[in-house]
Amino acid sequence: MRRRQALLLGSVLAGLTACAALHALWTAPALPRDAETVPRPPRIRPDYASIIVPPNIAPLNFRVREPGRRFCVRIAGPVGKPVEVHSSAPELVIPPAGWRRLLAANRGRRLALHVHAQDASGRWRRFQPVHQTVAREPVDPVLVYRLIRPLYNAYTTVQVYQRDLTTYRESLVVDGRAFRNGCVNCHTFLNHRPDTMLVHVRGKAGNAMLLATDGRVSKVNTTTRYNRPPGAYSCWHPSGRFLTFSVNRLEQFFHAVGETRDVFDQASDLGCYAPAARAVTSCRHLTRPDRLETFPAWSPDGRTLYYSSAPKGTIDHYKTVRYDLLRIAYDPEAGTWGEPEVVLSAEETGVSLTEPRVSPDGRFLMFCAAPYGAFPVYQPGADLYVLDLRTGRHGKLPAPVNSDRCESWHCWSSNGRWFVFSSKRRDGIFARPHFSYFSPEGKVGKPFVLPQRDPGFYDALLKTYNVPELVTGPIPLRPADFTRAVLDSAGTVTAHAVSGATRRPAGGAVGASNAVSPRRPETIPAAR
Amino acid sequence: MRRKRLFFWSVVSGASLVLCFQLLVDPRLLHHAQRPVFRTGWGPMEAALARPGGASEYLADFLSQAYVWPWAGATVLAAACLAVCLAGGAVLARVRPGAAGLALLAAVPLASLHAGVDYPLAPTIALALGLGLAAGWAWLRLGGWWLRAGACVVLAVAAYHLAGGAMLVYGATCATYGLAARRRWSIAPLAAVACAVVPYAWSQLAGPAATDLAGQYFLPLPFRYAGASPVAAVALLGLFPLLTVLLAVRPWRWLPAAAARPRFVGGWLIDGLGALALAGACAGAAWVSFDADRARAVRIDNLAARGDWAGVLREADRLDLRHYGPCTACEVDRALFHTGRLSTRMFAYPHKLGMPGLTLYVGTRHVPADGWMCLKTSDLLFELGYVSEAEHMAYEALELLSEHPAVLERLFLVHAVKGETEAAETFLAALEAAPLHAPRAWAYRRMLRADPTLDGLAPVRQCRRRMPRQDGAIRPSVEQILVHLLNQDPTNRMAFEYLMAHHLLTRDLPKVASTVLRLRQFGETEVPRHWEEALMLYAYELRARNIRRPIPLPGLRLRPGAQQRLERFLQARARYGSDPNAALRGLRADYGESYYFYHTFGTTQGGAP
Repeated sequence: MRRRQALLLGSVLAGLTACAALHALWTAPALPRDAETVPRPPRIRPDYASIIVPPNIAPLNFRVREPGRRFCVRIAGPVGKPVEVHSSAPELVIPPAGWRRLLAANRGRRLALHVHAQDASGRWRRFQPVHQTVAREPVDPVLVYRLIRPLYNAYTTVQVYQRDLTTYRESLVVDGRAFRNGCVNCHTFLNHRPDTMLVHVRGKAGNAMLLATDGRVSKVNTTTRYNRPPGAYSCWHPSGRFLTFSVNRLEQFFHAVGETRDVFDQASDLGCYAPAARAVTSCRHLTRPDRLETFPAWSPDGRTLYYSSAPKGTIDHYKTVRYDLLRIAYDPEAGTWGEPEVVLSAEETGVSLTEPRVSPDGRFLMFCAAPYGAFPVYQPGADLYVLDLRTGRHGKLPAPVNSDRCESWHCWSSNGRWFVFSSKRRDGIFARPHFSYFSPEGKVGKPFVLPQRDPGFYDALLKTYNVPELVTGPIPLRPADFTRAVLDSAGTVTAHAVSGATRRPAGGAVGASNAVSPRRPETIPAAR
Repeated sequence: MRRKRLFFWSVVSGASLVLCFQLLVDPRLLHHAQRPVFRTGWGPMEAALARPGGASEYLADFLSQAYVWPWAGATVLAAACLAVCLAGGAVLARVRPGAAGLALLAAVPLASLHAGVDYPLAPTIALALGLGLAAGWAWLRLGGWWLRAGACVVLAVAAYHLAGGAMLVYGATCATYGLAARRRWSIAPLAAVACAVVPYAWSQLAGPAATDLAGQYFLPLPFRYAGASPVAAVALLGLFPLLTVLLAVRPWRWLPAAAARPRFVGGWLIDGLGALALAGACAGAAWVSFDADRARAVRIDNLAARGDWAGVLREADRLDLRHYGPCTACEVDRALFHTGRLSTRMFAYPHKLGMPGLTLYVGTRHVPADGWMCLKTSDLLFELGYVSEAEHMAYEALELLSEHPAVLERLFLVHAVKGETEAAETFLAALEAAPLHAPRAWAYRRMLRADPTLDGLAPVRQCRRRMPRQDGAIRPSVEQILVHLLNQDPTNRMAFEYLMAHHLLTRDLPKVASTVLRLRQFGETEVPRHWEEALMLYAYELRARNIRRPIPLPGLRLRPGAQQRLERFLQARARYGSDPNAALRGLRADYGESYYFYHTFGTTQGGAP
C-alpha cells in the first residue's frame, strides 16, 4: 500500500515538473519585435557604456535608469551565442556562464547591448545599443583592498578583503577586529604574487609589519632606535630580497569648509628591510633631515627607486608643501646607491607628485598629483598622471579616467594592460575601485567600477575601497594565520639597524655601503 | 489535563510579564537606551548568520524594533522570556513527565534582568535557542551511544552557530540531563569537550576573533551587560541544571510518605494561588531591579531627541546626581537655551569646572570613546552651524555605532547642508534599509527630488546660514569654533549664548566682559543674571587689584541692585574665613544657583555632573 502511495506521489511530482518545464519553454520571453526606437542609448548605472572590458571579468550587471515595467537586454558580439536577460525590475543580472562564453569568443571584438524597456501601456521601446569592447589581455584575477568606513580618529572595523574578479566571490584576508580593533594598512605584494605580501598593523596589539612568505606569516618589528614610527608605504624590491618602506610622522587636522579631513606629514624617511638578515638599512639620500621622503616604488628591473620628496614645512603652511618626484639608482649586485635626481619637480608642475608606480614593462610611470601635501586621498583635486619614461613626456590622464573628485591609489596589472584605482567620482566620500585599459602606446580606456552581483550594491554601501592591488591569484592564507601572527608576541622578529659602518647583513643584501659616518648607522634619523 | 494546566500557567506568566514590562519599564525607553539596529536585505542577514551567535542577534534586533510600540514591545519581551521557560520546560518534562511547569520559575529572573533599561533581548533569544536545542537532543529517540553522542556534537555546532556563548547553556543542560536523568556518564564529558572543541575549531577556521566575540556575548552575565542583576543572572543560569538534578534524583522520595505527598484542597485553587504568586514574584523582581534614575536619564535623552525642552528640564529637576553625566548636562544646557534660560538658570543645574558638559566637544584629537556622545556632539555642532566638526563627530559615531539610523540621518543632513547631494543620497539609501526609518527616508528623497538644495528643510536652511564660509583654525577649540561662527553670522544667537556660557564655565571674566557687548546686536539692553554676576565679579577683581579701569558696557544696563547682591555674597563668603569647605556648605542654600558660587568653588550647588 505504502509503495503504491509513494509511486503515485512520485508520478504526480514528475508530471508537475514536466508541466512547469513545458510552460517555461512555451512562455520564454523573446525580444520584442515591434518596439519603438529611441534615438539614444539608455541611461544605465553603473556606467558600463563604451568601455573596454577584460575577457575574464565577472558579468557587468547594471540597472536601467529608464521608466518601464519590464526590461530586457540582448548582449551580442560578432561571434558566439548572444545572452538575453529579461526582468520585471530595472536591475539586469547577466547569467555568468553565457557571459563568460561570450567574452571568450569575442576577444578583441565589440559587444553590443540592446536594451529594451516596456512602458506602463505595454509598448516596448528599443534604445540605441551600448557598446563594450572585449580586450585581448585579461586582468589579474584577484583584487585585494582595504574596506573601511570613512575614518577620522576612531577605528573599530578595518579589514582587508580579496575579491575574485572573474566571479563576485569576496573573502576576508585580515580582520583588525580580531586583534582588539587594530588597524591594518598598506598591503603590498611582490611582483603581483599573492604568496608574498606584507601588511602593516597598528593598535593595542602593537605596531608591526606582517610578512607573509612561504605559506606562513611572521610579525616583524621594524622599529629601531633610529626609526621609531612603524612602517607605512612599502614596496618590494623585484628580487624579493628586501623591501623599501617609509616611516612617517603623520598628523591629522581638519578644515571648516570643503573636505573636512586632512593630513600633514611632519617627518618621513625611507628605509629597507631585508627579511633574511632581519636588518633595516637606508642611505643618506633617502633620510635627509631637511626633506620628507615617502612613497617608494621600484622599477621592474630593480635598478631604480622612485619616490616622492619635499622640503620640510610646518603645519601652519601646509599648502606650501609640495612633493617632487625623484629617483635614485641602485646596484643590486653591489648593494650600492647612486645619486638622486629629480624626475619631475613640484615647482615645474605646480602640483604635489605622489604615489609613483612603474608599469611592469618599465616604460610608464603613473602617479597622483594633488594641489599640495602627501595625502591626495583627502583632496578632491587629486588626479592621476602618467609619465613616459622613454620620452620624458607626462600629462594628466584624460577625463574619463580623472573626474572632478579624488582619484588615487592606482595599481598596474601584472601584464601592464590594466590599471585599477580608487575614485570618489560618485559622491566625493566613498572611494570605489575602477578599472581602465592601458594600451601599449599609453592610451587609456574609459574606466568602469568593480562589478557586483547586485547592480545597486554601491548605492547604500557606506564603506570605502582603499589601496586596491591586483594579484595573480588568491592569497593562500587564512585570516586566522594573520591574527595568530599579530597575537603571538613571542614570535615577533625584531629588526636591527645596520649600515656599512656597523655590520653588513648576511648576503650583503641591502645598500649599506653608502655610510656617511663610520660611527653613525646609516638608518632613518628624521622620524625619531 | 497536564497540558491544560501548563497552558494556563504559561498564559498567566506571559500576561504578568507583559504587564510588568509595559507598566513598569516602558519598552520605548528600552528602544531609546539600546537603540537596536535592524537592516533589511540579504547583506546584513548574511553577515549576521556568518558569525557565531549572529542569528540570535539578528533575530533580537528584528524583534526589538517592536519596542517603539509599547504593548507590542512588552509582548515581544514576554514571548522571549516564555520561550526560555518553555524550552527549559521541555528538558524538565523529559526528565520527569509533568514537570514542565517548573520551568516557568525562570520568568522571575528574566523579569528582573529585562527590567534593566540597558539589558538587550539577544541573550534571552540565545538562551532560548540553547535550551531548545538541548531539549531537542533530550527528546531525540536514537538508539546507541554513538548516535546520541554524534547528535550531541552536531547540535553543539548548531548551538554555537545560532546562540554563540549560550552554547555553554546547551552543553551544561545536556551534561546534566545525561548524567542525572539517564545515568550516561560519558555524555557529560562529551558535552564539555564539545563546548571547548567547537569554538576552537571555529576559531581555527575563522580566526580567534570569532571565539572572543561569541564567548563574550549572549550569556546573561552581569559583567557583560551593565545593570544586570548578578543574583538574577546566577539564578537563571543555575535554575535548569538544578531542577534537572532535583527531578532526576528526587530527594523527596526519602521523606516520610505523608510529607512527600501533600494533599491539596483542589487543583484549580492551587493553580490560581500559584499563578498569582508567580505573577507577584515577577512584578516584585522587576520592580526591585528597575533603576528609576537610569530610566529618567534615558527619558531626558529621549525628550531632547524629540525637542521637548521643557520636558527635559522637568525630568532633570528630579534626576539623581549619580546619573547626571556629561550627556545629560549637555542636553539640559541645550534645553535651557531653547527655553531662553541659559543666561539666567544655567547654574541651577549641575556644572563643574573642566567638565565638557556644555558642548561635549573636547577638540579634534580626542574623541569620546562613546559613539552616542559623538553623535550628541555632532547634533549640537550641527545646530550651532559648525557643519565640518558636526560631520567629523558624526563619522566617528558611524565608526563606533555602525550604521545606526540616527547616525545615517545626521550624515544625510550634513552632506545636504554642504551641497553634496550624491553623498547625501548614499546615506539616504542606507537609511531606507532600516524599516522603521524608511518612511522618513522616502520623505527626504521626495524633498530632495523637488529641491536638491533642501532649503525647505528648516534645520538644513538654518545650518547653511550659520556655517562658516572660510577655513578656520586647523585644530579648533570650543572657543575658536564659537567665535568663528559668530564672526560668520553675528545673528547666531545660539553661538553667542554658548560662547558666553563657555566663558562663564572657564571663569574667563575678561572675555565675558568683551563678549557681552555683542548683546546689543540682538536688540537687548538688560544684561541677564549670570552674565551680570560675572561682570560684577570682574569689576570687583579689578578693584581688588587696584586697577581703576571701568568695564565699558555701552548701550547695556545691569539689573537694579546688582552691586548690593554682590556685596551680600562677599559678606556671606567672608563669614567663613579661609575654610572653603565650610563656605561651600554654608553658602549652598542661598547662593548655590548663582554664578558667584560657581566662580568661587568651581562647582554648582548640585555638585559635579
